[in-house]
Amino acid sequence: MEYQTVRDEKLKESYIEYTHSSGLKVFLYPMKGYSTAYALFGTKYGSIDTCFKTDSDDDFIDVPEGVAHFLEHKLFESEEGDAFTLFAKTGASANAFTSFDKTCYLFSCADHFKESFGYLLSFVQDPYFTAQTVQKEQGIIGQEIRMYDDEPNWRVFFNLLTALYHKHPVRIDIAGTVDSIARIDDKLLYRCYHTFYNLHNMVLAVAGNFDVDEAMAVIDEKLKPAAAINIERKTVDEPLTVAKHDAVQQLEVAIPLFNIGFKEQPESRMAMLKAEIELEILMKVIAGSGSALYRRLYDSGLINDSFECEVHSGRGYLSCIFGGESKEPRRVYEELLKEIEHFRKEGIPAEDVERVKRSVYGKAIRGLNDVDDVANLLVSSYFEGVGVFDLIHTAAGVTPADIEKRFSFSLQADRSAISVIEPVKQ
Amino acid sequence: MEQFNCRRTRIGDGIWFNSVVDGRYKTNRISVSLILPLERETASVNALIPGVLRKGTKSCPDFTEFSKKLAMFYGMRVGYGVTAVGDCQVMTLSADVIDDSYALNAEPLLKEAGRILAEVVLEPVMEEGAFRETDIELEKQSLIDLIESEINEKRYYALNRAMSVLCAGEPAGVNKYGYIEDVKKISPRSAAEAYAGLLETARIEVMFVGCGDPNQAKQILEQAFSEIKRNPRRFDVFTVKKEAVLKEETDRMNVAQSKLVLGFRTAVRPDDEAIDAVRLMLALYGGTPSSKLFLNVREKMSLCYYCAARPNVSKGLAFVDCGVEHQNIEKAKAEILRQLDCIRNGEFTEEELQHAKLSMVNSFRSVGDSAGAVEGWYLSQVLYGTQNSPEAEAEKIAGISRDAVIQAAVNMKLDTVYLLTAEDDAEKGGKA
Repeated sequence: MEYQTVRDEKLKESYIEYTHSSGLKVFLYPMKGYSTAYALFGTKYGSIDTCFKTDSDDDFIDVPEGVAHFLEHKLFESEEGDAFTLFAKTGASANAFTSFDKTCYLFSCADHFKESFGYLLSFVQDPYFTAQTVQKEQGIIGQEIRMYDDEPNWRVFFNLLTALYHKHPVRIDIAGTVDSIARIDDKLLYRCYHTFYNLHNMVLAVAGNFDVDEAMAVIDEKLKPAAAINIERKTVDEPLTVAKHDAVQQLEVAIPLFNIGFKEQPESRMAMLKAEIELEILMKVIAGSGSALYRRLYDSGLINDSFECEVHSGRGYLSCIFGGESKEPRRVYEELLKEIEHFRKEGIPAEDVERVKRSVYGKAIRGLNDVDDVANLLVSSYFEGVGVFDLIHTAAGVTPADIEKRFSFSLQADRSAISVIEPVKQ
Repeated sequence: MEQFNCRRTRIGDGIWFNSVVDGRYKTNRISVSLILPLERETASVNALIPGVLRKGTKSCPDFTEFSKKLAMFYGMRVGYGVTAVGDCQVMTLSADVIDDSYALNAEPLLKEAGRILAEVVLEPVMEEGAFRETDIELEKQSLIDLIESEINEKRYYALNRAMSVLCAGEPAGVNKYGYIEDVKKISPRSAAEAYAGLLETARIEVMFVGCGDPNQAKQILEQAFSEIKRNPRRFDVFTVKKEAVLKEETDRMNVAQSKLVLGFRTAVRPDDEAIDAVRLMLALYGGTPSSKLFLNVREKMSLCYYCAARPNVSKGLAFVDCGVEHQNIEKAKAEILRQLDCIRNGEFTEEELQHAKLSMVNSFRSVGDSAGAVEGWYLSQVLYGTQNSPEAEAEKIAGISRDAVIQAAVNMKLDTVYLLTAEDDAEKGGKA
């Protein structure tokens, strides 16, 4: 195994990276002065992986919505009991999450790192599903889905994705629906597990207070070698046009909530990272708190302090989203489109780019403050195919010309949509 | 055992500077908290002040220019907020910035943060002794929006409602953000008067958490505060009522999932040694994924996705909350109360107790890794009048006896049953 120490002289940060003989990519990022360690064991498997095959499968399989998330819940269970009871013995705080394009298992601890780390590596490699345990979980996840049904911030976002995307599975809810999860059984979970939980499709990242040699020893002891696997994910032919420009739902809210989205061309690796950073800068130049538009909207009562913008990106999807609360969301949409046109005519002032770039750089530095953020950055950078410090240095290196160029083909009105949650009509 | 590493110095009449210096952070954060009793008459206008102050200063009165200035300091964040601690309302303004060592052009960021925060708190934009009318009107609307949008997050809305029912008639029953009808009545002049009163009478706690030199911030703030007239009010931060009076309250709304909240009185003050047993008992009861509530109400009975217990230390209260189908409400409630009885009867193993202890020790020993958590921890210590470091607290937890846990459960009295559920008794099924 070839251990590589990645050092960043400017930031005075470093970490160790290697591919374990089992096939697993490992990142170890000790952080001086910290009390806790945070470990993430992740697979490149999320809610968007709904159609796939391996070399040993004859054909592609279409799986019900919400399988990746369901599997995440079920993996905590083994024949001996719940993985949480293992972590209870060390006091570590364990959890897991499923996003659009990955599933991660994690724990955070101040003491007994070695034991907890061993538990993490073991339980994720030890699936146990039965018809009965699957059925029990349908009740729990059903309640999780119902909880999200009532959350307007969640609904407004997913309704936007449904408007932006015709076919790409990013448009479906991560947890699926009560109906779709009813179609999941133990056999299907095993098939998904054996496809995506192959160590060659996974990554392990540890950050914070831990001993590197001890971590490596646990890794050597616990990882079962795996034959390399080739996963084919069926990619959909998603056009750049939007499915619809408007999505509305009524829920118990006082003030309408909105998400305005612009569909962008997704890239990969460094090109994607560059796109994400440049779009973030662009959005903030146009609508950030230092912009003329923000001021006009705020002063006319069209937005309040909840207004924000973010880039939403992952494997095969990229969009710019402006969201908040407004009594007249469609006027916010109109004003935003007008402001974009204004910048198209007048150009993007270089001083605006310089200013926003600095705050994006500051945000990236803050991202190294917490052990959990560092571990998450290691995992997401790896799956994205970029280096951990690329974000900081790319942000620091953006030029006004980069932004002008990006702007020439992004934030297009005809590729935009608005999603609104209205108060329930009495 | 690590020392209580928060240094506390008096920098004025009722004004304190607290600092925690730690090389692990890459940022410096300074906050000024203005603390006064939570009272219906003043809650709304006090809650408005931080939002008005963060919009600019005498030297940079334009909000857009002010935002641009902060961005140039690598996205310095001027934060503002209102919290409730015990019977008090805490108005906080903060400045948070990356450390000087990461500045690309050697800007003195920490000093700038101190200066900007001092100006935000003490040198707002005024016209003829009043705030600007546009600022007041916009921030009034923003505060009204905030109060109205509390219903968006149903879980927190239900917890807040349970709190106000439980503490009805007490200061803690007053909404920390105030009331829409009161917000509407605020004028630029009445806000300015409230602001002057706040600066004159509030207890003021400044917190510094970062890797830089706190003296840079201290000198600036000490100097700035020395120029204001002070006449601090004397008040208790918290009172803890012991008697529980069973109250039931139901709100009906168009929701898919019902929210049930049980509010208890633990009868233990935050500065009472017995508080640790209360915390431990609640962890055992419903604070972790190996707790009674998680294992039974969620895992065994499959009734809920979340069902958790947590303390409100500053008021001697505890809350259990869950999201549940309408038809399962009674089932869930019965099981939640049954599990409490189990603890009261000592029906828990040594192992379960040990697991709860380990989990709490882990969370206390994790506080130091987050600058935000450190600030919250030491501000609480200062307000409770206690001097425990998270590490000392971890040691105390490890030594708590089984009997103390049982006693804490026995002393816990059900006071409020709050329910947020669908419009009619039929379960709401559809969504748009």
